[in-house]
Amino acid sequence: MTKSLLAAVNHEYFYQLLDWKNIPYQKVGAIFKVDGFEEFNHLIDINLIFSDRPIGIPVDRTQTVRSPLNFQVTRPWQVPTENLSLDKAFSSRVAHYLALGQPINLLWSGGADSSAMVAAFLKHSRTVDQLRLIYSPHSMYENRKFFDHVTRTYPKLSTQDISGDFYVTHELDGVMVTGHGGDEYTSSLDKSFFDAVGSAGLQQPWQDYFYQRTKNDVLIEFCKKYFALAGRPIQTILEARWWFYLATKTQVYIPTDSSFISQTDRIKRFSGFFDCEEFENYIWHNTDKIIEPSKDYTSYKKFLRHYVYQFNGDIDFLENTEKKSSMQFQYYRWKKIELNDLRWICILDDGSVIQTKNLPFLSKKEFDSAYGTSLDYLFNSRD
Amino acid sequence: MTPNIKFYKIKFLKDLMKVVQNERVILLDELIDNATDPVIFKRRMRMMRHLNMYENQMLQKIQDFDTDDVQDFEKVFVNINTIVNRSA
Repeated sequence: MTKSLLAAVNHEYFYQLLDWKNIPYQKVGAIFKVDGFEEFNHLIDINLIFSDRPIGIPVDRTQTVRSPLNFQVTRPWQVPTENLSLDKAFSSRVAHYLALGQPINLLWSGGADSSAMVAAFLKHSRTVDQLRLIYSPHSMYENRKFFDHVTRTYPKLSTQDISGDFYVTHELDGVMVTGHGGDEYTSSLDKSFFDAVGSAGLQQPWQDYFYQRTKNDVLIEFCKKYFALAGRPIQTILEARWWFYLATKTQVYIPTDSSFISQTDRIKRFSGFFDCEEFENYIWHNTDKIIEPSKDYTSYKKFLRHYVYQFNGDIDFLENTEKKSSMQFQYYRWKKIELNDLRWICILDDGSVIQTKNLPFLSKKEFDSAYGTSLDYLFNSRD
Repeated sequence: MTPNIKFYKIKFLKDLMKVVQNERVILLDELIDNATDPVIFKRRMRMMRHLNMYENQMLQKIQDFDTDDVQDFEKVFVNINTIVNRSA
């Protein structure tokens, strides 16, 4: 049985594959449009409306848009039928992990997403025996009070600082859970977009904004059809952004972020806490919680900081913390990949890695020697 | 006419070593400037070790790289910044 791509391709190498396969494409940020895939290219156009430099190829969870690449959709889109509270969603999610019976590494960056994740685990686990808090000095810099509260309240919680040489030389056992999904399921709203559109602007009709940006009626018609698949009204720019990221960007993080755990079955043992049906159910009913209308950017994902506040009572974190990209673990990942020669061209849905032996040096000769035409099935023919 | 791949390998190697040496000198300077700060000293020593590891890795790869197309050397992404990133 042939395998599909998992989610992402490494654009640094993949452009060359497209050239070798004579697939006509245009680079767009760190992704690309491909001739002959009109609806897929519309998704790229939407991405460009929301981001000056898109990263991560859209993987359409509705499975209605034909992609030039044969991606595996890990969790196809289904309109939610339950209406869960946030705590109930978290409780159910934690129970899922505990049932695996393995060590659970909680990658805590100090930000709102991972802090809410850790709070959920500590609240809904009877014991901390399975849990291990993974952090770095930067995590504590971001949210020292949270760390102090956790270690004081749960003295038996296992903790591991992975800075220094640890993340380079060690691979963690068990499963790894990160705060990923926290952005993708809440519109991935970055400050630059917020500043460009404005708080009031986010509540404006998306059609006006899309037409103003693209002057493309065909794109607007596609969006009407695509947004209808959400199963609920998509009227505002914020809702359109929420739907786009939820429907097409939730798998992007998987390949690179799994590099902290050992290679064996790493894809199966790694996941984003928020990348689940439970949280999706919650946010589908509560998109009004994503950001408070008429408030500044600090109100983005305040509902998650409120969850943390209920856990540790830190009013300062609740009221004054603005979302910052937590880059520390990203730097660790990139360095580990380079130093330990974990480079990849793309990753298949079973976790197997497509690579040639001398990356970052890539040649057609070496690629053909390793794979020949055996990966041609990953490329779909044009419309 | 068959391209002289060895020439391009040596050229790439020369450019790479220049970059690595430059980074090494910067790290050494920081090491000396912060010799009394054990944390910075330790971190810079670790980065230098990683830089050496990275250099050795790349030397081996250049040596083993099999190609007929000189343009392959223009498409290489050398992510040395990830190795000497002071935040990592």
